[in-house]
Amino acid sequence: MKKVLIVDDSQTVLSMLKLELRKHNYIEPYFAKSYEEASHLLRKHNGDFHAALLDLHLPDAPDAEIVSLANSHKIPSIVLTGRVDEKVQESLNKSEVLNVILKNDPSSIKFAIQDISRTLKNYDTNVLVVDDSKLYRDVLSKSLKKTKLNTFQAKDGQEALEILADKSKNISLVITDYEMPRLNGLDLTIKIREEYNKDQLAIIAISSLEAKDIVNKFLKFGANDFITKPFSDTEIVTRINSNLELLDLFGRIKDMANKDFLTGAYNRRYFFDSGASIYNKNKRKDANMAVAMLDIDKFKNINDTYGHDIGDIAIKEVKKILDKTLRSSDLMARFGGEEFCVLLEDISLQDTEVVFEKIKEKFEKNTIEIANTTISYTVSIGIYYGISDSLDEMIRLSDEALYIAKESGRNRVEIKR
Amino acid sequence: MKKVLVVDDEQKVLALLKKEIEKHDYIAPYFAHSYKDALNLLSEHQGEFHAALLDINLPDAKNKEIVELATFYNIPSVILTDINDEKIEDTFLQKDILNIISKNDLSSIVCAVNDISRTLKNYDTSILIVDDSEVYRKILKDSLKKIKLDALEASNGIEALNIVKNNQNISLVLIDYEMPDMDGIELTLRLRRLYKRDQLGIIAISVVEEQNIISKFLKIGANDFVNKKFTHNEIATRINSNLELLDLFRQIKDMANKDFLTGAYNRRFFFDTGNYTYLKNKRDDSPLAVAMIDIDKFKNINDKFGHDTGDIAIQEIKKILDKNLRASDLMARFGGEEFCVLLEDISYENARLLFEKIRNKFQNNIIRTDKHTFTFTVSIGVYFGLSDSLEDMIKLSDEALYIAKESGRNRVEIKI
Repeated sequence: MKKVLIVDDSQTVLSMLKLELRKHNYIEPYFAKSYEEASHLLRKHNGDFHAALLDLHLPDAPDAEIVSLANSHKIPSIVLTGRVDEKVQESLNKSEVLNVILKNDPSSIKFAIQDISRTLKNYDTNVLVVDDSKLYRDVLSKSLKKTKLNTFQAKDGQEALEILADKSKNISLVITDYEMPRLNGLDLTIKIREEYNKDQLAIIAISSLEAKDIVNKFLKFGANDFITKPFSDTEIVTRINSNLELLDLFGRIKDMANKDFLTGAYNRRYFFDSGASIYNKNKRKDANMAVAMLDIDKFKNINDTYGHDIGDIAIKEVKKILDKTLRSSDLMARFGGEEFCVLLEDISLQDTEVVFEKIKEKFEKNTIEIANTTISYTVSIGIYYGISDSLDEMIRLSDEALYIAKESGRNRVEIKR
Repeated sequence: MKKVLVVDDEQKVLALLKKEIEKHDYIAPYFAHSYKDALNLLSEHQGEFHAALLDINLPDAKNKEIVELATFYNIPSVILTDINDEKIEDTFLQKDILNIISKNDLSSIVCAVNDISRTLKNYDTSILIVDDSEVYRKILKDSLKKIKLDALEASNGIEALNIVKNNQNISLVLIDYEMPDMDGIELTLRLRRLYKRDQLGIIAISVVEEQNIISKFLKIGANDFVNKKFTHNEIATRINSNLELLDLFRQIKDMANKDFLTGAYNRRFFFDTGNYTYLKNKRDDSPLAVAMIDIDKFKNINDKFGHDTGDIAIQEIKKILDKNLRASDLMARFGGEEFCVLLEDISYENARLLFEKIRNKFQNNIIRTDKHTFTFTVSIGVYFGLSDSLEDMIKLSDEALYIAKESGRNRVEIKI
């Protein structure tokens, strides 16, 4: 959730904005109807606002004073206004306003919120700028920073590949020039596409008008988009945002394919797709792994006593507790019903035991309060530690361990080697 | 599967091409080492090749005769060459040449095969051109024909909206900016109210150098923008690149919505789409048919022939239902050997006839695998009418299925 300041003196506009905001659950809006109210909110939430949506003409500030106010708090702003006169336009040009949207039809509300939403997402989005000219890199980075994107810079294709190799940088989009020493933009595009698909990492190529044929080459070799120099700030920013939106859309649809609807945990298919490559990597190194199968004890009782809705909440709780306790690199999936499977690499037998004993205890101490019922339950965990002939086989062995854990009285961790 | 002619005299290049082509399971490649080989293949499979990949320097045809040959048979071709020759560019202007690629490294092979793959998909892709100028529509249409895209035309926004609504299979719309009555911006806005960017691609085209027109189009949801002074190459590449992205979306969505074993829709998709159909018909108060179909004694098939054969039986249900249902009927695999179908705009009598026919089809269907020959029957429970919710209608059809099973199987039981 990120805080957004919304200022408009019209109740109609505010209620239309509220309606549209419902579609975006990560926006936490604060509404002000005047300059006075806005400055009060700004003082109260000092430095907490990530973006602002501003009306230029307020009863107590008729000449866009609100823009300077937001600027002084360094809040990126979108202006939603009925009209823009010349004097105001001039002051807007000098300010840090990201976009000016005219309230001329109902869709302007949608686009204003869309801009806000994009800006919020940009705070967590990383872009790599590749150009051999430091001047160009700096100019471009500055435009991007204005939209709150985080930028990295590389002076040629080779350096770009080195930066991309560091997965922790989590780059979503690469903007690359064509002509560069060592490795040019086209060769960089080809290299990137050997590893990432268009839905995983976007590439925007930039080049001069003269090399027109190069556009086709770039697109054929996998660039998502192309921009010709010289370009305006607005054009590059819109192209980048538009490509980032498409990546997000891909991400949402992939989540639908790979995640379980009830809990948001990965599904069985994703576990096997993703787990297979982890297994193969560790098999090559002959490194040990841990596969854990976890199951709610006497789950049928919960369902029978409290009904399926409460049963579902209990299942969601498993995902939450596992999320909190596991490392982000561990692979966890719901296998169906109340059963979850976890794959862990780079872990010792002793640490495995510690982690899962801890998880078992967390469930034991955990109580879930729903309306006027309080429920608690325990889990049994079966683990296989080692490296056997296949991932399927390791799962089978952990399943056997789970069976033993259940047979020996439940609320237990059983490890097989 | 579409047939593609691949000609190269170097065994090494052919091997690379073969490996790359295998990644595309709808390409049926035919390999030739020489002009003579190619000629034989062409006369043997006359009219059947959808595309060709040609090396222009062959031992028995050094002067690009192979290109003339492919052109003679009207086969769209990608040319692979190791010579940098200006004259080759002239050949490019001939109508059936898709691209010229110098084979300097592996990525050029990848690029050539991608070009072929896109062209094959284009045969089954429809797009719409919206422009008030007939001349421009013609120029675009000709350009698209070259990459095997068949385009529909609209001369204004209203016409365009109607065409898109009536042709669910249109993937991409090319929209001119300046049009009387409804301009490109307005049309884009209206289309985006109906279809998202992953459902329908929009490329805006304009001569206007008006400030920020590109940004404006992209902001309201156009996928791309092309200046009207485009070259054939430019527009073709932009269109192909956008179509590829839309295909990628479709593939990923299929993963989310379809069952892995049969390719039928899954339960979630059934409810997402089915609820919409239900509400629409509820408003009109028109009855729907929901049918639950289940293989009789499926356990026996599994026990006797093994799970692999059981899976084949399940796949067979999807096939037979596909063949007998209308394209607008919604069918999904609910799990195991159970399928559910939702039909609208159908009378009670027609629903009965349809499911009797389907039941009969299974009874007479003999499945032959490598190891076994067997038949199976199905029971079908149908609810016809309009009850309180889709869930309820499914529950009622499930009850009908139970009765069908109880009264001896291989039966259709309809509840009203």
